[in-house]
Amino acid sequence: MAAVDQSAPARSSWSGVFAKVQAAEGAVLYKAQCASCHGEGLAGAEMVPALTGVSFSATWEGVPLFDLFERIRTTMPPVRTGAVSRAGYASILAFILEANGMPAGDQALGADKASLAGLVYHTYRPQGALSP
Amino acid sequence: MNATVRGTLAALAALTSAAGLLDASTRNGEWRTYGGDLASTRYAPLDQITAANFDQLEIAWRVKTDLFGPQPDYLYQATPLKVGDVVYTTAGTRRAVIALAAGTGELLWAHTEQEGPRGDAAVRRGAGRGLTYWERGTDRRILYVTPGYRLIALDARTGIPIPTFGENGVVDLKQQNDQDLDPVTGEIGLNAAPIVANDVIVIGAAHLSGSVPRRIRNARGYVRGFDVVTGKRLWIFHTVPRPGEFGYETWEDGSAETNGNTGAWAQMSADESLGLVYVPVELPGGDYYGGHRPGNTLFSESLVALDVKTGARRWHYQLVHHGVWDMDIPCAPILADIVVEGRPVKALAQPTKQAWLYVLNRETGEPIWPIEERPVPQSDVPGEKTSSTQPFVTRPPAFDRQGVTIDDLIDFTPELRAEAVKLVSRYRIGPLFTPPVVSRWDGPLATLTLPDNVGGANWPGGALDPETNYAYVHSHTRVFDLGLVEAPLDRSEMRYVRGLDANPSAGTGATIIATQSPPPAVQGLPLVKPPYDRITAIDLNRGEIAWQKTHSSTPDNIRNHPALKELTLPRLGQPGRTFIGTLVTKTLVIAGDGGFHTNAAGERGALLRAYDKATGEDRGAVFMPAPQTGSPMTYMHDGKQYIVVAVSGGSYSGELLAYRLP
Repeated sequence: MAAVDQSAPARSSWSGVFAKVQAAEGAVLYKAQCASCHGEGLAGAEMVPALTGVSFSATWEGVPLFDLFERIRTTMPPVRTGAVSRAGYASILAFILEANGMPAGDQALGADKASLAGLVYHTYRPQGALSP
Repeated sequence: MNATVRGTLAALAALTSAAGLLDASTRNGEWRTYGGDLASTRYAPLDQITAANFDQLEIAWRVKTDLFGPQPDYLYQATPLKVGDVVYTTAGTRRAVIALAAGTGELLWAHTEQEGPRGDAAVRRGAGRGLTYWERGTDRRILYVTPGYRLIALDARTGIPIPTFGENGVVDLKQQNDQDLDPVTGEIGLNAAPIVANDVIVIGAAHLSGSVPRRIRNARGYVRGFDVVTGKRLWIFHTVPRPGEFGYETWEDGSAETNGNTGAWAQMSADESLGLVYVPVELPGGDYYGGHRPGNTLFSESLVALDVKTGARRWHYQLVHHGVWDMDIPCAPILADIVVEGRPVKALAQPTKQAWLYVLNRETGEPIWPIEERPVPQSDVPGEKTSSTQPFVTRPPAFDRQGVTIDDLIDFTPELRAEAVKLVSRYRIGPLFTPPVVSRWDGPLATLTLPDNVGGANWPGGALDPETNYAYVHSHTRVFDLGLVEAPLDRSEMRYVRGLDANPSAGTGATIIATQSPPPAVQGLPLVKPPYDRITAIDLNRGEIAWQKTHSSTPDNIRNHPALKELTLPRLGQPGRTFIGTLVTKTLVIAGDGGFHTNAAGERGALLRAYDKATGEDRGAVFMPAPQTGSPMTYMHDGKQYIVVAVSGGSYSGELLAYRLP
């Protein structure tokens, strides 16, 4: 992380928190493990929540990425949570962030609490935030 | 209910409208059936919690359901029962049955079924919507359907299976179903609470959702009645008729032989004095393409009244002919003894995804007010033959918006409206029953529908105040992009499934199956104007809307939207798929928010709200840690009124919350 500037907004999903290649790996995992229910376009279905769009944002706005990571890690895919590694879950989360329009950065998204707990999901780019 | 009590209530009914329908249990402070009573009113005449004290409600007890399954449950949809001093509910991803002390929430017993691969393959997972209570003398039972589609009968005192019911307390619902179903992979299940009427337990069926069905000839969702004492199958009703049965010819080209689904996955209602159970039926396979099922295909999207003792059809009413919009009838009809122009009528009111409340005579199936067959736009999808007319409800007015016009589009600012108009130009829009289109990148990309494929209203259904015959229905307002693409052979036997055409400049060449993205949005905001969800009160005696009110709190992602910052906006509702059940008490309508928001104290959660039942005015609220996902119920215990509601969502796993006054 760069030197902390006290006047800058908190680090968020808009701070370039995942790597492009990580999101691409996440896309492959997503297609294999998630797409049959959540859809190839992350749009969900009758009984499956969308992973992008206004209702997804309504649920996760302002929530630490660690909470979203834990929700996915402990419940998905149903009955087969052991099918994905921690690093795999982080890649899938990176793919979901990218699909929601958030920018990639230089470093991969971590798979540990210390890396994720300080990052907040925001639907919109915070005012004054710099592009990574 | 014994004959004496029933007789007394019947006498009361002559004087006070619907009293005869009501289970005495809610008057006694109990809640013995999923819908409060077999009429599905979700009404209890309790009056301790009022407008004057609602804000003072505090948590009496809470039960987290994480331990009742291998994974936590983030969509907890159950409504508990309360019998005597015990609260019963389903809980957790294993759909355990738990018995709790009504005053403290202490666990008294739990029962769970380990179903192995059969449970893992369930088409309806999770805790389900609830369970069923039955008693005769000292024989007191809890019954429910497991994720693996097995009917279980338990001793209500101990949670131990009843050895004389079925096989050691279990009836395998994949058997005795007039079709071959693999015990593990047979694609059938149920997450509704079964209903017991006249000592018969009635079981419906659910399947995987049908936007991209793999097979045309899927399992069929027949309805069955079982003896609640022995578990013996008493009857079966073929929702897809067999040769020689009524309705077989409505499946043209012999298509009754080659189609499946047509299940009854919703809650049901029953009138024990008429001996009828009311069964809401879904559409056949292929939610949006009917080319493999020509004709009106009874009993798809029909409400069917069956003799509960024999399963014989007394009447049926088809709400949609040859549906291609997924207008499954999603919830129990509300039974009401109404007075129309001075004339008492035994009626029912059926909330629907398409936002009409269909009011019928429940003895005959005749509409109370005219339902007119009117011409509708016709499909141009190859192989599709839509019905030339559809039934239009003339009264009461629709409880949510139907069809899409430019006037419905977002209009917070001129810029947002202009962007929405441009976006919509790529789609086909039109009135209710505008059919789906084959998706083309250069237009039309899809038909936009309102309500969307899950409502309008959905599985929670409505509620009724039998004192005034006001029905209360929650609905959400959300557009749906309904495009069709040719189905890849490895994905589906259907000629067309839901999807969007590929962007040719993207170079992938592949169409997008199911859908490309969530409903079209403008700068991340819903395409249509708020409110995004609402509660409507409908006077069933007059067939008129009494009041309508935006329900849920505005979510943070909309409240904080950069384009809306300068605006002062009222409550807008939640823009997602909100499925909200309402509870009616002596003076209040009670329902929780359908999504999260952050309050003035910086807490993230959702409100449990109280409305004046006559006017819809806000009468109080308490802040919950997560949105309502199961429907609230109420009971009395040791002189205190409780309100219990299931909440979950986001990073908050399923929890049952019980409120009472200090």
